[in-house]
Amino acid sequence: MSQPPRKVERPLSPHLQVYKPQISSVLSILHRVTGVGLSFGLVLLTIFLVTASSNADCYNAFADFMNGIIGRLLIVGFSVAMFYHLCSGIRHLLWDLGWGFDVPTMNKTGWMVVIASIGGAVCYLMNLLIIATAAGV
Amino acid sequence: MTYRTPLGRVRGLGSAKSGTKHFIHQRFTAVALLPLTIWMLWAVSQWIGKEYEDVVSWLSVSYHAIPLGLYILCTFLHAKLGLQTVIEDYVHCEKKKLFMLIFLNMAIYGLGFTALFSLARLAFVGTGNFAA
Repeated sequence: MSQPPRKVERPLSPHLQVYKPQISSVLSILHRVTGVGLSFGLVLLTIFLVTASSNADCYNAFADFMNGIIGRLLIVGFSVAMFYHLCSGIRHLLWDLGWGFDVPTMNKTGWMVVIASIGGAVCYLMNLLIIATAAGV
Repeated sequence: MTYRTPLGRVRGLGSAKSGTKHFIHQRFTAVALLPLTIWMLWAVSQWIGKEYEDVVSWLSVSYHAIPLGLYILCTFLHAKLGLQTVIEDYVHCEKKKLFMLIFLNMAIYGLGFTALFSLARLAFVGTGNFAA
């Protein structure tokens, strides 16, 4: 009666590397990767609010960092990830409603997500660049 | 009425009875974040290259502080649920998983409360939050 519960060795699915990359699997993995990446953007958002609510020196140090090369790379990375996660998320919500499960539709919406997120991110970043240039930073 | 044996329950195997709530909260926050994220992308474009005083007065008005507060609430919860799923999927060592989930909760609630508090303090009291 006092035996510890036996450890159940449940099977795991084969490793990802054995599969040929497909639009379905690659986009699914990207949704997770961008989701995890964007979570780290919340640290940046918190720092922005903490410095903005503190004083000018604090905020300007943060703004200088964001205007530098690392800050700009972060903006580009988070913007691309955000547009992808947003577009891909709409596709996931449509699946949750039961729409678009058949393979031809799924392939089509997959490529639509890729095009929309790249197009959206490029337009958005150009817009930011124009604003930044006009403001002289 | 439960169909599980007392032994199964005491070993803690099987459903924890909160998976559906997790699933639904993930979707609810996702739907709320559709407009809020678009708003947030616009908001970021409003902060670029602005003087400190302009950023502070931008953040202090209600019609900016309220959607930003809602965005913080939804996005931190959405991130918590998503990261929890990732940890539960890929971390198989029970002890490591438990510590990572505890750390995740502390980080999410710690950062989230700090962000919301800073925004609220800025709107209600003004600057001087961490350093005068």
